[in-house]
Amino acid sequence: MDLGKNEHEKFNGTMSIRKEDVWLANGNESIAYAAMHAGVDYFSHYPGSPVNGIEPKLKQLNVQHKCGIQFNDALNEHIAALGAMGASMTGARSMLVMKHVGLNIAADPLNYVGYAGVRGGMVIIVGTDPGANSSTGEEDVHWYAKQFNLPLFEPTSIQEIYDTTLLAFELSEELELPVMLFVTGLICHNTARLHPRELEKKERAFGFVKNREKYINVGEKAVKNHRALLERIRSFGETHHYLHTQGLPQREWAIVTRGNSYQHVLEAIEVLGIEEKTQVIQVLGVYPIPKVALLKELKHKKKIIIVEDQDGFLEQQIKMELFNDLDAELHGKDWFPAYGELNVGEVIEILASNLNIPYQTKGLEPATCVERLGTFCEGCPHTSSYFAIEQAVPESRRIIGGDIGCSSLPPFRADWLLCMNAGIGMSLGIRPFLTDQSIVSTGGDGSFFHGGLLTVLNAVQNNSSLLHVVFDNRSVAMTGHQESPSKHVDYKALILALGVDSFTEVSAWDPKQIQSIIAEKEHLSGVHIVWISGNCARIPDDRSRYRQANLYPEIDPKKCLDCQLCYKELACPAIEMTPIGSFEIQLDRCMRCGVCHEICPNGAITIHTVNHEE
Amino acid sequence: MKRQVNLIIAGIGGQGINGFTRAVHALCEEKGWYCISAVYKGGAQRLGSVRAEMKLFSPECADVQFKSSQIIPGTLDILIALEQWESLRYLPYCNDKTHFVLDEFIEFPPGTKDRQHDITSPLDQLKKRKVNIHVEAFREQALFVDGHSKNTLRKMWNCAFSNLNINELYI
Repeated sequence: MDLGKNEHEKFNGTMSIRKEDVWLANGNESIAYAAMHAGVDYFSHYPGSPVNGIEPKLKQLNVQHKCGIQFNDALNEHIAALGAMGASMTGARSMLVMKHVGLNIAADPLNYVGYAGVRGGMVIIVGTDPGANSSTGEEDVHWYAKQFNLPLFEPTSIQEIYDTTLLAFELSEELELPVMLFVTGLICHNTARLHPRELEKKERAFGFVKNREKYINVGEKAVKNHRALLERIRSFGETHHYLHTQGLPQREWAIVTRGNSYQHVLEAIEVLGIEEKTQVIQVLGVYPIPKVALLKELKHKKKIIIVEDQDGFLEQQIKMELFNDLDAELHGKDWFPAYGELNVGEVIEILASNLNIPYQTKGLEPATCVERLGTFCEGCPHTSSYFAIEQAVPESRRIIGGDIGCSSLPPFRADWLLCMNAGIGMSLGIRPFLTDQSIVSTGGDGSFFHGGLLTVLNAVQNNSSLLHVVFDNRSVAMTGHQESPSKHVDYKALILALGVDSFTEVSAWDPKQIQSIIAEKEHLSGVHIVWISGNCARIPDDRSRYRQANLYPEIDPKKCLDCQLCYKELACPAIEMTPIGSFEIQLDRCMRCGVCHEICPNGAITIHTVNHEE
Repeated sequence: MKRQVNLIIAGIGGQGINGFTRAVHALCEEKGWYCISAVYKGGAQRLGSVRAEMKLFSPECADVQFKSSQIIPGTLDILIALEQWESLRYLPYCNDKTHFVLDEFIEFPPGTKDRQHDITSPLDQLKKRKVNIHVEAFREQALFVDGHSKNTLRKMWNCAFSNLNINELYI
């Protein structure tokens, strides 16, 4: 067999790490450094906050240090997972990255990767989001570890993220299983010192080695491989010792914790003055729990408190695995909430109240503050598109299906916002039951290529009716402007080939034209796609750059009749109300898109040309 | 002398909080201070609430590895707000000795007037609480002097540390 050359050897030739090196890194960068130092060969991902910073950093390192990493900027998490699995089957080291909701999409193949196993290390990084700070939900995906039967680690600091990522590659190869790492938004966006490790150069051989006994899982073979997987995971749980302790083992109380909560707990016990009574145990290997090592620490305790975000995964594992061996009062989700993101203040207050320790915060009383909901940026093409849709169909009969991404940032303009492609997908089921209402489904170009394309085909196949609007801003803007397929794919030909009844492309900067197209199509049966193109305001194209250099708009107060269409309905952030109630365009914010000029019914907004000679 | 400074920089997306926090973090480390910083932001590119929490430890502090990156309510030393409404959001972190350094800039969330409660101005609400407030047109000054607003945060940072008499952290 001809085994390929290990490209990542180049890394060792261009960069060396000294013992005294200290770098500054956030969580995302720490993972990228660890991936490079582990010699990752294949990086596969679908972008999503809070782990969207790994890919750009690793790409930068790849170029800088000539690592030879293959990148798979996948169109969805299912494809990303399969790519990484394939790479690791050849002996390559792969890293798979997605956010927590993406794990639902990737769950299909990941349910069976443990049956098949991997040869090269495969590390799955999942960005979790307790508190739903940058997501449409805060679902607890820890349960997937048990469902997949894959080891799960949850580091708690920048250094630990780096060290655990390196460890995960080694363990993955030892166990022949992918290893998962969960990192929360808080840790991803933390910055702290990082001490990189000195690493030994290792050579690996690549090639696909046939193994149908493991790779074809049907009937008896599936059951046999499932059984082997369960035995491997059980044995790993009984032998591994991935936990850290703080405080002497003879202390009566134990606080068991994982992830973010660990450092909150350390600070809380100091504030409450219970360091002398309490041993803190941070479980790094969260699934399977380090059964023997944990029992050794907990068996003589009188009180065990489990502090963790979300559902209580760790608590349930401890109760399942150790309950018969413990003789302690045990608290977890009976004290701590299963929703939102635990913060240090909350941990202090809950512990103080339940342990009867006097504690009074010195914090000031909260004040009434404005609600700062999502909004479109100045010059965003979606501002114009949404305005036009709203003008085309009166609110009394208008239903708008929203989708994940920038297009749903103002949360009360669409009628639902649930998951990727919920806008178009749910419209299929809603439309047949409408009598006097009109439904327009919407979504960005990223969502369209993630799964919207298939939904269009599904609609054609089933003779469904659909009016779907694609907001194509030429990038996956919300997660860091990853390149969109719309830049190089002939999407018109692609969509027409699916058999749709009409495809109409229109410029985002022509709201009147968009309005007229939507008004024309809203009553039609069949499948109609309206493709609205206009670059994201953060990545200006030639038109935008020219306009910014040469034009500026102005509101003429004499012509303005206070209809507030530009201020309230278009809601461009560059248009502000003055203290006397008139309106002004803030030129340091205006992107010169010209949409306010297009929509003003009174001709009060004029576009002037800059006199460069002045 | 051991010194710990807890600081929040509050503002909205697009004001440069993320980049500034990283830069001052590196500078503080260069000056021998240990620093933990965390940025909190939503999914939006611009205009959403953004804050950075920073804990700065003077070189004499040795036990910082045991600290949470988050600030305990009521223990904030400095609140720098690039937008005045955003200063109100973090009052529970402040105490009666906290130094508030505020820019004059106010950004009312566009298109949401009908949804907002009837609320008085942020400065009036702060003044009722009798806290140390320093309000200045930092952004306007930066624009006037430098032709751009990039130095706004630097001016506010220096103002805050001058109030605390920690000259070694001037930038």
